[in-house]
Amino acid sequence: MMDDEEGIISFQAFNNPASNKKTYGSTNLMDTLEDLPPGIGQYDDFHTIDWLRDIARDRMRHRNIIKKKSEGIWEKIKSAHDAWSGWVCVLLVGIAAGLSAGFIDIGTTWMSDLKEGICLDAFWLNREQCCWLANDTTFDEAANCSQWYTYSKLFGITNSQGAGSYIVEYILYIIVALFMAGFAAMLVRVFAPYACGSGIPEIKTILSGFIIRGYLGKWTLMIKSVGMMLGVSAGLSLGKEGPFVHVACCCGNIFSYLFPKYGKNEAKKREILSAAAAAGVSVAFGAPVGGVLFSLEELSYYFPLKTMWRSFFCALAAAFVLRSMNPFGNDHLVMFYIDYNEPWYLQELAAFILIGALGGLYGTFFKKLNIMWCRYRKTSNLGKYPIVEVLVITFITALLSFPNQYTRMNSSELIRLLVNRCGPEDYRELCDYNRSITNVNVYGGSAVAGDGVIRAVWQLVLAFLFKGIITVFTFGLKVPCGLFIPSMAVGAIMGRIVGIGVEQLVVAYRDSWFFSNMCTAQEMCTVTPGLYAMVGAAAVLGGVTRMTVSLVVVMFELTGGLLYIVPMMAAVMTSKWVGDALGREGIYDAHIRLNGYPYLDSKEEFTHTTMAADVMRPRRNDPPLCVITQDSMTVEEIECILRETEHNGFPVVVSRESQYLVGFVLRRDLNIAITNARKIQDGIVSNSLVYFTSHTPPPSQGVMAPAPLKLRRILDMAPITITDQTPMETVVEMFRKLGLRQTLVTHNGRLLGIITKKDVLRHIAHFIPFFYNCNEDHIFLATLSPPLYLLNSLPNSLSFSLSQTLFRTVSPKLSSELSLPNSLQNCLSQTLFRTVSPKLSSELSLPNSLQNCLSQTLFRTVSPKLSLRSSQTLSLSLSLWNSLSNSLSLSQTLPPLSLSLWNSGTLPLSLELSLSLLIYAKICL
Amino acid sequence: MGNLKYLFYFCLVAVVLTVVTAQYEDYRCKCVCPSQTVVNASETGRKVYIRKVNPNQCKCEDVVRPLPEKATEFCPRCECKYQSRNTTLIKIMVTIIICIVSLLFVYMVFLLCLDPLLVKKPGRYTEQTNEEDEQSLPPPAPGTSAPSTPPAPSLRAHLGRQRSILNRVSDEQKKWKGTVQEQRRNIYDRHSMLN
Repeated sequence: MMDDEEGIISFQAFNNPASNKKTYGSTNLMDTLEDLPPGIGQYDDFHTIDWLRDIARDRMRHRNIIKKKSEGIWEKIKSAHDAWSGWVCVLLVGIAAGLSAGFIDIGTTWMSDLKEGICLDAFWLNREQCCWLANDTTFDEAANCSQWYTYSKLFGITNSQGAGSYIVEYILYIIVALFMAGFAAMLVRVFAPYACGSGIPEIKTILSGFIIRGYLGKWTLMIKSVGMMLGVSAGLSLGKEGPFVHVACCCGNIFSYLFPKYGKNEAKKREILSAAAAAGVSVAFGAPVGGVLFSLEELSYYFPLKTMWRSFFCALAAAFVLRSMNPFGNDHLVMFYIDYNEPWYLQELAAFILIGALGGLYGTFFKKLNIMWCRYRKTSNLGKYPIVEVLVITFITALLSFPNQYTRMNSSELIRLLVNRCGPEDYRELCDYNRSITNVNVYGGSAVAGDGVIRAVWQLVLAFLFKGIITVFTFGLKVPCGLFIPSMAVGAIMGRIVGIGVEQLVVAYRDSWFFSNMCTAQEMCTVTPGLYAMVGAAAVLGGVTRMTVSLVVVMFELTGGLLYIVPMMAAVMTSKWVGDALGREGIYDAHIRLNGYPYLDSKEEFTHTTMAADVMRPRRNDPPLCVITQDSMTVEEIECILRETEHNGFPVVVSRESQYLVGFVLRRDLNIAITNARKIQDGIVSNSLVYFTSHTPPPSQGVMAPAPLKLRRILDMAPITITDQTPMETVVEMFRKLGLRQTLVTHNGRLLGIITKKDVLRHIAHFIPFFYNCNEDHIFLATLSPPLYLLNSLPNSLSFSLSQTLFRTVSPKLSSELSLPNSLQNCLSQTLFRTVSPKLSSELSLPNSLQNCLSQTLFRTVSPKLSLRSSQTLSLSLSLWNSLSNSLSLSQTLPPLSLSLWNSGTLPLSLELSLSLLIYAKICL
Repeated sequence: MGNLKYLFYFCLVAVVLTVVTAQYEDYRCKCVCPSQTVVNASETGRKVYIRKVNPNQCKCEDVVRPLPEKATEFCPRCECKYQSRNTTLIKIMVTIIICIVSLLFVYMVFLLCLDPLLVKKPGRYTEQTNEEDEQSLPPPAPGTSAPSTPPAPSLRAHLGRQRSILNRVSDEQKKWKGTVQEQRRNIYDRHSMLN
C-alpha cells in the first residue's frame, strides 16, 4: 500500500528536478493530519468539495488504522468500531427518519382536521380516529358521530345542514388555514430560513459536492418538520413527501457527527446522506426499494456500489420504524395504496397511454409556468413580501377549496378516495352507480353511472383546474412544501375522470366486439377507475419530475404487486417521452438552474469540439496565472497574494521561469497554516521564507535568516493535470466521473492554467443559452426578442436587456459557425454587446461621440477576425468601417450598399456578420 | 436555548407520566355491508358495523347487530376487517407537537417583540447612529458591558461561574442569530437560494 504512495511521490520528484533528492522523507504527510491546525481539509460555505482529495484522505486514515491494528486490543476494538460505524450510522439515521416521519404523519393527520372541528373528549384525535368506535354510523358521515364537534356544532348551531352552519364553518376554515400558514411562514423566517421549499434541488446539489452550511442542521430539521405539518394542514396545495427527503438528510447529517469518519470528511458524509435520502423516500411512500432507486437515479451524484446496500438497509430500517408506529391506523405506510387486484385488459392500454401523454403535457406546462413565476418572484418586488404572499395564496386556496368537497379534504385523502374502487361503504357521489344489487359480487364490476357520478365528475374537473393552477403558485412559497402529493393529486383526478369515461364507454357498448373480452357472461364489465387514478398520478409525477425507474418501482410498491406494472410503465414512459419532446429537464433541474447552483449534470451530454486551452484561466488577455513558488517566497509575499486575489487555490511551481508544477495548495489551508504559524511557531516573521519542499537549505552562516516556514504538509502533491490539447469532452467527463474541483493545464510539462468546476459549468452553459439563466431572466427574453426585433418598436427600457440576450444568443452561434477560439469569441460577443447597447439606448438621435464609439467597437470586432484570415480583407473592413461611420447619418444609402456587398458573395464570414449587424441596425432605426 | 430545552424535557416527562391508560379503544372490527334491503325488508339503512371484538371473532355473524334473518345470504356480501391503532402513541405525539409549537411560538414572540427591547437597552448609552447597524449586523456582544458592578468577593466565584455559563449560552445564541440572519439575507434579500 505504501508503494503506491511512494510511486506518486517519486513521480512528483521525477517531474520536479529541483527537489529530487529527499522526497521520501515526507511520505506520511497525510498521516499526521491530526497535528495540523484544526480546520485544514474543511471547506468554506458555498464551496465545492474535492472528492478525490477527501477520498484519498479517508484512505490514508484507514491505512493508519490497519497499521496500528496489531498494536493491541484497544486498537483492534477501534478498528472494529471503524469498520461497523457506517452501518451503525445508517441504522440510527433510518430509525430517526422513521420516527420523524411518524411524528409528522400523526401531527399532520391531527392538525388537518382542526380546520373543520375538534374531538372534544380527546383533543389529540382527528376526525376519523375520534369516530373510530362510533357504532351509530349509518354512513361514515361526521354529522352522525357524536364525539366530533364541528365548529358550528361547537357554537351551538344545531342544524348542521343550514346556511348558518355553513357560513360559520367556511369562515373558521379560512381563519384557521390563514393562521396555520402564517405561523409556518413566520417560523421559517424567524428560526430557519433554509427550511423553506422542497429541498430536493438543494439536496441534489449538496450530494454533488457543494457545501451549504446550516442547510442540514438541527433547526432546519425542527422547523421543517413543524412547518410541514402546518403547511399541509393549512390546506395549501403542497405535500410533505418531498420534504421528507430533506428531513431524513438532516438526520443523516446530525448523526454523521457522531462518527468522525463521516463527520469530518465531506465526501464520506455524502455516502450517509445518499442513504438518508433513500430513507426519506422510503418513509414518504412506504417504498424502500423505490427509495434506494430514487436516491440512485435522481439524487446521488457519486454513488459507490457499497452505498447501495447500505442505503437499502437504511431505507428498510426507516420503513420498519414507521410501520410499527402505524401512523394512519391502516397498517400501511401511506394513506393511499391499492388493495384490490382487479384485472385489466389490453384495450385499456390505449387509455393508459393517453393518460401518460396528458401527464407529460401537464408536467411540462407546470414546470414552465412554475419556473416563470419563481423567476418573477425572484426579480420583482413580490420577493420582498414572502409572508404576505403566503397569506394571500392561503386565502385564495381556502376560499376556493372549501365549496368543493374534493378540494376541501386533504390531498392525501383525496388520492386515497380516487384510487380506491367503490365499495359498499362509499356514500359519496363518486360511487353513485346504478347497480343491480342482487349479485353477490356486486361491487366487483362496472355499472351505468348515476346522476351523482356525473355531478362528481364536474366537481372533479373543477378540482383539477383549481389544483393544477394553484400548485404553480404554491410551489416555491417560503414555507416547507413538496411537490409529490399535489402532482399526484392532479394526476389522480385526471386519471379518475378518464377512467370513468372509459368505464361508461365499455358499459354502453358492452356488446361490441371490441370490448367483448372485458365483459364476462353475467354482463359484468370490469373497468376500475381507481386504477386509472393511480396511473394518472404516476404519469403526472413522472411528467413533472422526469423520474422513470424509481417512480415505477415506487408505484409498484404502492400497489403491492406486479399486476399493474405494465400500465404504470406505459404511462410513465409516454409521459417522459412527451415531456422530453417539449423540454428536457425536470422541475428539480430547472430549479437548480434558476438558482444557479453549481451542479454538473451527469445526464447531459457535452458534444462540442473545444479544447481545454479555450476554457482554462487565464484567458489570452488576462494577467498570468497566480502561482506560488516552492522555495523562494516569503510569508509577506504570500499574504499579499492572499489579500489581493480571490482564488480558492494556488498552484505551486518550482520557479516562475520554469513553471514546472509541484502541487496545489488551497487558499483556506494556506490561510489557516500561516495564521497558525505566526501565532504558535517561534521566529516566523514577514520575511521568513516559505518552503513547500521536503528539505530546507541549511541555514547560511553569518546572515541572520529568519526561521523558515515549512508548509509541505498542506500541499496536495498529486493534483490532476491535463494538457492544453485535451478535448473538453474528456475534461467534462473527468469532472463528472472523478468529482474534481479543479484541474491544472500544462503545456510541454509547464503549468499553463487552471480549469475549475465553475469554468466548466460556465462553458457548458454557454452552449445552451436558451435554457441557461444564471441570474437573469434570459429564457423569457430570449423567446421574446425575435418578435420584438421584428416589431420594430423598442422602448428604451427594454433595449438593454434585449441587447444582453442578443449577446447571449449570438455569441455561441458565432463560435459554432466560425469555430473561433474561445477568447476571441468572447471578445467578439463583448464588442457586439457594446455595439448593440448604445445603439438601442439612443434609438434615433445618435450624437457624434456615440457614433465614434460605435464604429470603433465595430472596427475592433472586425479587425482581430480579419487578422486571422488575410490582409486583403483588411482593406475591405476598413472601407466598411468608413461606410459605417457615415452610415448612421446617411442611413438611407446604407442598406443598398450592404445588400450589394452581401450579394457579391465572396465575403468572409466575418464581414457577413458585420453586414448583418448593419442591417440589424438599419431595421432598428 | 438551554432553559428551553429543559422545559421541553419537562413537557416530555409530564406527557409520559400523565398517559396512564388510553381512554379510547385500540382495536375494532369493521364490517361493511350492503343495505339489508338486499335480503329482507327490515330496513335499517346501516352499512357499516363496528364492534370491539377479538381478531378471531371478526366475522359478519358476530359483528352485525341486528343480524338479518337470512344471514347466510347477507353475510357473504359483507367485508369485515380487523383494525388496530395506538391511541397512546397518538396522544404522546400530539402533546409533544403542541408543546413544541407553543414553545416555538413563545420563543418567536420573544425574539420578535422583547428581544429588540432588551438589546437596545445597553445601546442607549451610545449614539443613535447604531440603530442602522443593529438591523444588518449581529448586535455587539454584551459580555464586555455586562460585568459592570463587581459583586462581593465571597459570591464572586459562584456568580462568575454562573455568568460564564450565561455568557456561553448568550454567545451561542448570538452565533445562531448571526447564521440565521445570513440565511435570511441569502433567501429574502439577495434571492440567491431557494427561489
